[in-house]
Amino acid sequence: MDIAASGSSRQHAILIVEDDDSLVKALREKFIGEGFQVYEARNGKEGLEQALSKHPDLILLDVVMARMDGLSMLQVLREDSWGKTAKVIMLTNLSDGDKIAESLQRGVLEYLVKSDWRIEDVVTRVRQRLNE
Amino acid sequence: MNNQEALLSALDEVALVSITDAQGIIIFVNDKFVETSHFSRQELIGHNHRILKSGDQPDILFEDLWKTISGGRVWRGDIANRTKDGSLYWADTSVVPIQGPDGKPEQYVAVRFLITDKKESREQIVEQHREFERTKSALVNALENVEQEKERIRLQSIETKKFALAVEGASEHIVITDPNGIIIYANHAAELITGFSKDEIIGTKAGTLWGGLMGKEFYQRLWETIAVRKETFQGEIRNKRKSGAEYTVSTNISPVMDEKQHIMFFVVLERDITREKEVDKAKTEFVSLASHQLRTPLSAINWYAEMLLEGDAGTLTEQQKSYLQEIYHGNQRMVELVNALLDVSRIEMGTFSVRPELTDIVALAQSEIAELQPQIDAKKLTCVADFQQGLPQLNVDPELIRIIIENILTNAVKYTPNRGTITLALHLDDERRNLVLTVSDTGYGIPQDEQAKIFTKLFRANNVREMEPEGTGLGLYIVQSILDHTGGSIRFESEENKGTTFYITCPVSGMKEKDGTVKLGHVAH
Repeated sequence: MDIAASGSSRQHAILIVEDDDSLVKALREKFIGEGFQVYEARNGKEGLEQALSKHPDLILLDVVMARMDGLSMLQVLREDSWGKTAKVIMLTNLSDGDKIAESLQRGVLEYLVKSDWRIEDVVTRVRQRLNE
Repeated sequence: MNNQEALLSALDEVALVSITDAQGIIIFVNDKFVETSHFSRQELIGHNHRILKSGDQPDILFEDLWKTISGGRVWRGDIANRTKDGSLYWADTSVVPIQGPDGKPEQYVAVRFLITDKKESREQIVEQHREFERTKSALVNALENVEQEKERIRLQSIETKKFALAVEGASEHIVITDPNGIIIYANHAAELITGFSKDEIIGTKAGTLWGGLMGKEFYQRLWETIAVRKETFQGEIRNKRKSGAEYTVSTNISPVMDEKQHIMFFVVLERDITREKEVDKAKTEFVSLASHQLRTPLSAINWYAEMLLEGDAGTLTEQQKSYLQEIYHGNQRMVELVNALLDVSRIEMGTFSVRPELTDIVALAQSEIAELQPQIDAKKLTCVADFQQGLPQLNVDPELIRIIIENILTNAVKYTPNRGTITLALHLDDERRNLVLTVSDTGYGIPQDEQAKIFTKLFRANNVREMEPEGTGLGLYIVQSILDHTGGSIRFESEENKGTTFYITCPVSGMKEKDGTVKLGHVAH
């Protein structure tokens, strides 16, 4: 799904890969309100397609999803020449040590547990990472 | 020769003849008598027969003899006499009294036949018989001993068989190796678990058939423990069955040594825990998934509430703001509860990890105080820090220490009324064996009758329940569990309306590294 954002110069584009409708909507509306261009995907397969076609500036990636979970998508993404260096923040509700370790191994910038993060702090972090 | 002469002649040939008078004086002896006794005729005639007495026979024999013959009756018996040079001869002796005109014996005729040889052989026979009896007795004893020994051995062999059967039939894989690790015995379970037959197993070096999955250092450490340090090795090992399937065992390998501490053999016990591990893994995954599922709607509520409160959907009235804050707050508490429950389940399953590293506990304490500064300031509390100079860094898991300090300190802040005092101290105990963290407050205290329960899950004492403080009621349970698992301890003193002091110790030797699938990582208070 492709949603155009309200106009502003050099917008940052983010891709939200998340299967929960309610959360996607919250993130989408927040980020658009903050001036971002937002792409969405509901599972890893769609996420991969979106990432490789739209080349977003940063990807917010959930872990637990049907039809290709976040870590599998990440693995495939890293095999792509663009995807190898794409900025990824895991945004999930799993606090599993193994999964954290695995994602850090694949070079994600952050591993954020959704229920522990205020949504505006997520925006702040995204901005920080984009400016690095 | 007439008959009388013939008789005498014959008698002379075969018997010793002597005649005594009624008093026992010898008046006649024949040649054979002289020959046998070695006395001369002159030495015998006119002397009492006593001179030939052997001294070996009891007097009563001779008393009986004399009584018999003096009563006119013939006496017959075996008599031992001595020759002139002292040697003994036995004679079958008959003494015949010869009646005189007055009816009383006036002479005694003794006719003796030599039986020395016979006597000797008879005595020999008696002696031999006695010897035989003694030997028989000894033999019977010996036989009894042999029987007892046989019985003992039989019983022992039953005992040994019992052990052999027990080992053979045990459900654990049991293998015995020589000091070089070559397998000399494997029980039935070993065959079942590894998939290899006894024939295939015996003679191989332990682990070559089903091992090799753990990495070189692991096996080196194992060998060092059992062969060099001669201690028992315990641990979990991943192996591979003959079919190729991998499985996990809990293993126990012990060296068995002789009196000189030389290793005689190794005993390897392995329990197949593949199923247990799978169950544990399933449980962990379930808890993980459950908390994930719970958190998703909680995140949604959080974010929408936040966005509303930010004004993203328009300006709110004060009342709307206030209600929304209630919703948000309530949701926050649920999030904390889910996080705490997740930690509790990890503690209960023992699946949390302990990763020690050199940690500056003073710095951790200071950062915790800083984090709580807003609440401390809001309640106008005085916070005193008392850190012993020169405290060493300890090899502990910093996250676990952080959880402990955060929980205890937060409780102190929460349960102390405005303008109270909180003190946080760090120092070594007298023996320098433990680092002691002391957190004391001038707060509400814990009622005497509730003190036993404060470490239980979700507990809230009556005196503070009405205040409805936030938090999960799981903090102290988690803190105590962490300390239990890492060699530390916790105790407290408290008086209602005066205050509470918690004493937490952590060994200076630090925490032991523990593998686990997850880290405890959430604040729970």
